[in-house]
Amino acid sequence: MYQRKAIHPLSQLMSPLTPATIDTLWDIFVAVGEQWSLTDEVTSYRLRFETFLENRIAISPVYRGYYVDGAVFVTDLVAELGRLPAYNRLFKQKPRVAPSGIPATRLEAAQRYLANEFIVLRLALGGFKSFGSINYRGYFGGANIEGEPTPYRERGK
Amino acid sequence: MKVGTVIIGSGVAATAVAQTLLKADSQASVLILEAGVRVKTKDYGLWEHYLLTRQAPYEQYTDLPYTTRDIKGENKIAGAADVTLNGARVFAYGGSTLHWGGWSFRLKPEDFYLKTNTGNGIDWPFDYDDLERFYCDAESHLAISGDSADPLLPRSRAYPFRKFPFTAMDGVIADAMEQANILYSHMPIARRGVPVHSSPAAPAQPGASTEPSRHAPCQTTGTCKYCPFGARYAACNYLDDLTEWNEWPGLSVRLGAVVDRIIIDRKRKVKGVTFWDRETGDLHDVEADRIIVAAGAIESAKLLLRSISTDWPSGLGNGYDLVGRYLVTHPYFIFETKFPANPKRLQAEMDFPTLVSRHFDSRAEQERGKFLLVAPPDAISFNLAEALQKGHSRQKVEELLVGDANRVRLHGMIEVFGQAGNRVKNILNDYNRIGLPMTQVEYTRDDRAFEERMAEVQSKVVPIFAAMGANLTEKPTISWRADHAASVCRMSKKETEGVVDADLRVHGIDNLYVISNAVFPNIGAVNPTLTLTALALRLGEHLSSGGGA
Repeated sequence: MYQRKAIHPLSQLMSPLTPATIDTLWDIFVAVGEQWSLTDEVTSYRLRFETFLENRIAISPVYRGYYVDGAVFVTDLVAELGRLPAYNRLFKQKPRVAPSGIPATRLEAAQRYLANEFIVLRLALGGFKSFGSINYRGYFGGANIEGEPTPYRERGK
Repeated sequence: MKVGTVIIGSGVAATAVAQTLLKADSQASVLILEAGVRVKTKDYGLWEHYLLTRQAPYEQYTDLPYTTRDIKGENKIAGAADVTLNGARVFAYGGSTLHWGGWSFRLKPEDFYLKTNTGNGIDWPFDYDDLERFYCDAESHLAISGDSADPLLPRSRAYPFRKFPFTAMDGVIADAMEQANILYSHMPIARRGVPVHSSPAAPAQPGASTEPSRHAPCQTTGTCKYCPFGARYAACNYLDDLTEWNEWPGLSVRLGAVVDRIIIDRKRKVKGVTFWDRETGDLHDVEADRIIVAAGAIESAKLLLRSISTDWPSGLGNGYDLVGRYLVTHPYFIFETKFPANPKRLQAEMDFPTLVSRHFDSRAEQERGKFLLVAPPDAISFNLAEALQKGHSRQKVEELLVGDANRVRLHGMIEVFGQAGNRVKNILNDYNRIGLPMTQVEYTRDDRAFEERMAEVQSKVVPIFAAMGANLTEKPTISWRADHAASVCRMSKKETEGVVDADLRVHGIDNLYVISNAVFPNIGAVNPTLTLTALALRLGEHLSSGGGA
């Protein structure tokens, strides 16, 4: 009974994201690594990324809207500005104080519910390793087993 | 309806007692009544949500903040000082083990002699040596990873799982403590490990876990407040095991059952409880041969207080007006200052501490209030995700990581002593969202004396910061949140000094027991859960061996 998946009743009624939407969202996720020169191998994350999208919608149905509109918004932004400038705007042009409450613009919605969340996921899946540590919040570092390497940086090593 | 034992509450105390009773008698009839509902554990989507937002699914089942001018909250603070209930406890299946940190300390021998050593409070009716074997059992029940070679306390069995080595970040603090001549140890933590292989040629240490478990070992995910694997002990997972994996037909758990009062038969005997069903609103009576109140410190005292009769006009066991009194908790302090530089690129890799210092949790400090120091998992403040989310460039992120922009922190808890005037009561005409009467907290403290004590604490931690090249001048932030609320039904030899006896039986009543932090005469400087578990296992053994009703 514990293992039953948490699903919002409205989410059960929704159709799945289209492959085109998922591909656009995946490109945003890939771009996280490009923006910060992460050295992890992103292609291995595809399945977990798609599961992540499903889980977010399952818990909060409004996420389907964020994903569908965010993909359209980013596609248009890339068409207008080109890929690199578009992702610079999405990832780097942030207000000094992080906004809260209802998003005021489509850009803000995409930054908060796509870009920022994809950053957390990307770091947790392995992107953090570019910054010197071997474990990180959300990463499955492994167990503490006698005779095997400690799953985090250890004192004096 | 008639059962052998009713247990009120479904946290660690209830679980440990129930398991002990049922292991001794597989046909025992045990009914667990829990006011709260089930929270999904080990759900991957909820875990991802926690990863992104730090919002765990059980947070909605804690007390609301106190009412203010603009906000209708819950409970009431009636004393001069604010002891915060919001966030301190969880009303749900599994109780506060849903949110606990898992720090699992034994009390020290001197803690059992507070009155003898300091003149404060009362002594425990037994001592460390009497409780030691139950501490070992409790460490097994909670699946503790710890340092079995730690000379700090005498122990007869090894921890079930090996200690977690110090993190690189904690190494900085360990080095500083060594320079300051302050002792430190590995944090004993309720994170299941991997059983060791035992063979005739190389037998495992007594106590070390050699058996596989249905519960997964810790995978160091850094998300302990909502473990995706259930590696951190949560009583609900264990209660599910008790009901689903054993041939114990007499065990049942009823959720959403809000116990209104204990039904009193005569002066020395109780005969059942009245509870109401949260879904239907219907009242039900359950008769029982024995009642065990395991509803957390505050709710346990409140239930006794609102269970009245002509023999007990001010509440069960309250003939000497002691129920609800002597409330204590741990003030939790955080010292923090600028960290000069971080060339080792240290950042949080875990979500639980690996280093603790009980140097000042000592007999020498007992009279003034012992204290504990902990290196938090984010001792150095750099937050990688935040840096990226702010839109900083890679170069800027590197500067933030290694430069002088970070803070360094040391956490701790300090012992304060119970006062008769510090108490909890029911607000009988006002109910919280769970359906329980709201709580009135009356708490007064000597702010000047406490500030003087904290200045002494600060003088003792300044050398640690200095050894790290950090200059600590700021006062600590201090939380008086009631996570470790205790002593409101304290244990005593004499009924004039406390509410329950050494066997946790309410003085003057033959078949009523309390097992929660409420029964601690004092809580020393450490988290109480391991000691609570040891007491629960001891109670279970006492009852199973024919002691008591």
